[in-house]
Amino acid sequence: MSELSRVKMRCRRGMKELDVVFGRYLQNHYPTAGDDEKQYLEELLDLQDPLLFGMVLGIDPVPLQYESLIVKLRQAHD
Amino acid sequence: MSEYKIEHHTYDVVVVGAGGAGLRATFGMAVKGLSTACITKVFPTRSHTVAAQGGMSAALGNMGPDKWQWHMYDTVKGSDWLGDQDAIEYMCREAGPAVIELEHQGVPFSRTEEGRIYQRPFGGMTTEFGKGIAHRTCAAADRTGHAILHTLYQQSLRHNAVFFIEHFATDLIMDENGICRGVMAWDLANGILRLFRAQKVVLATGGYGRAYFSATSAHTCTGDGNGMVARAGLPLQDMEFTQFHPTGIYGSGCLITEGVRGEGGYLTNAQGERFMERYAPNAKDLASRDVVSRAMTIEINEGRGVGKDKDHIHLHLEHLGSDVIHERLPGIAESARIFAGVDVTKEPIPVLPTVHYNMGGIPTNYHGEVVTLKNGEPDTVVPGLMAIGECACVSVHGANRLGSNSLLDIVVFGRAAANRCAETLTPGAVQQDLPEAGVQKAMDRFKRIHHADGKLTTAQVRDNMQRTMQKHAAVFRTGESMKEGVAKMNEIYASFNDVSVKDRSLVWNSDLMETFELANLLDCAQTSINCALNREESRGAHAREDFPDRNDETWMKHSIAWLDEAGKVAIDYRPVHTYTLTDEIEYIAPKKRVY
Repeated sequence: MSELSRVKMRCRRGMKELDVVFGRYLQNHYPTAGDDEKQYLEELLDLQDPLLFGMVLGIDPVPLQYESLIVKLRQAHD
Repeated sequence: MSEYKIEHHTYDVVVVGAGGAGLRATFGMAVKGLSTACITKVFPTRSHTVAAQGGMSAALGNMGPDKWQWHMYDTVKGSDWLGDQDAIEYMCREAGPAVIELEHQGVPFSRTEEGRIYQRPFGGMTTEFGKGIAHRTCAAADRTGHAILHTLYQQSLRHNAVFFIEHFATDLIMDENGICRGVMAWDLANGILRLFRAQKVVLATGGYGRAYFSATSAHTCTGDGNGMVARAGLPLQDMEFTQFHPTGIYGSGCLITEGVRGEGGYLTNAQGERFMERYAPNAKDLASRDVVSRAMTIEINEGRGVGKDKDHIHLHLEHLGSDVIHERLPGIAESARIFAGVDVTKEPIPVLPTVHYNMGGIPTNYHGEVVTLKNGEPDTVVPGLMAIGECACVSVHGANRLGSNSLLDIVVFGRAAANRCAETLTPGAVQQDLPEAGVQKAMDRFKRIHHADGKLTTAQVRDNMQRTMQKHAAVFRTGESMKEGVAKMNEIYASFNDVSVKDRSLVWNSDLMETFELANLLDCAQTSINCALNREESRGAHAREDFPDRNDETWMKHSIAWLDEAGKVAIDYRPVHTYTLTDEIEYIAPKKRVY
């Protein structure tokens, strides 16, 4: 089983915005992510879409441990 | 067969899809004592219904006078008289009870100071047959879709519905008499193929926005139910009707809400001209979705698009100033920065008309039962099969859907399907074995795609399809351009035979799942562009430059399209239901649709 393939499927969300955000992250950042970051990603993926999107937009507060990951998720445009 | 591990399951009802429609049906079936399974490729609360923020229409009259008859008139007019009026009457009448039930089940609707459900105005929703503005849309803050999913999922679990989450349904199992007897699904986590036997299979698989390059729908919206139905030898209906939203962000398709133009945002072309003044001198940038989308497309086609490829338009907010933007349009500045790399206080947002909703789909009656044209009878029920929500074509939206009628559609017809099953099925009734030929056909197809070994990647074929649909079957439609598009789509459809799946694993194989999804999208795209070329009139969202008027005499009928294995499309018609359900409202006769 490819770990990337499993994460890729879990990054399929209900909102287009989150598909884009996670799609770009998987391409640009996931290959070099450390174990901690991968663990935080799994935790974020368990959250509900509106909360997750609110955190990405900066409308909902972001718990400290996720901050650096959320910053990377916000870099969807390049 | 030994290559695959197979498991068998039997339920009274199997629902495919866990968006709002699928969950409402699942809950409704379970509560009526039917053993019910729901198969879904993503976790239920991650279905695309979660993106529906606007709300759900129902003539409750909490904010002023309202009647379901007025709601019905608006919906018929919105549909440009292609909607079936028996089904529209049913939806508008049942809207009230359906909302109240959701309230009792726990959806946290926003409230007035007196504690009633708060209702707000929405485009196209009027009182007294177009005279006043109706306050008809019920919302749970800006998270209505999510609240509905969450509530219905909890209620389904409470009533012992069984969920097969992260399972991809590949094909219906049909018998030699054309009766649907079950469905096959691939367990994404462990590779098991599950054969489900059911008295009734209910498809609730959503739309197919991903057939286009630019769509507001999530990646998961791939028309899976439509594909299954087409492969079962049944027709798809009104596939030429696709609703576009004028302001999707160029490149990603993420939506910029209409509210931006409401607050004074405006569009410009490459010459910096506010071109909407030419197309709609009064309403300008606030004209209706189809008018703005068409104007933008004409500007691009005539060489006045912006950007290196002159293929999009600019949306300006910078004149509003940072304070107004942050105060009145929360999240827009952040969205523009993340998805377009743009600072809205300094520069415009690149936008493009973007696919937003599919009016067409699997033809059904107002009970949710799938129907087909057979031996001259246009309302022949296909035994064992139902379809609800965006994948279905009841048809309540006709040629164009009104905002806040989609959440209503999924809840009302999810509920109707459950009520029908409760009336017509016997819980625990003995079922025959699945037909061998039907199972073999589904297995053979799975194996063929699993071992696909051609020269093209799934992404290449998908990209070809999306670009062709965007160029030839989007907002601006002419016979000439669509003929070119049909010729290209024929090649692209055939090129699926040369696709390759690199990863042969059956566990979390995203490449394989995307290939199955591509097959479904191709079925949707192929029927859609062929029906669009065939319909020589303009009606609702289908606007032909070469046939600019609605032609009721020839075209007030539903297109139905069958697809053969080679991708060839055969088109016939079903009459529009020009009658109502009861004598509490008369048939609403066609008029010119002006707003």
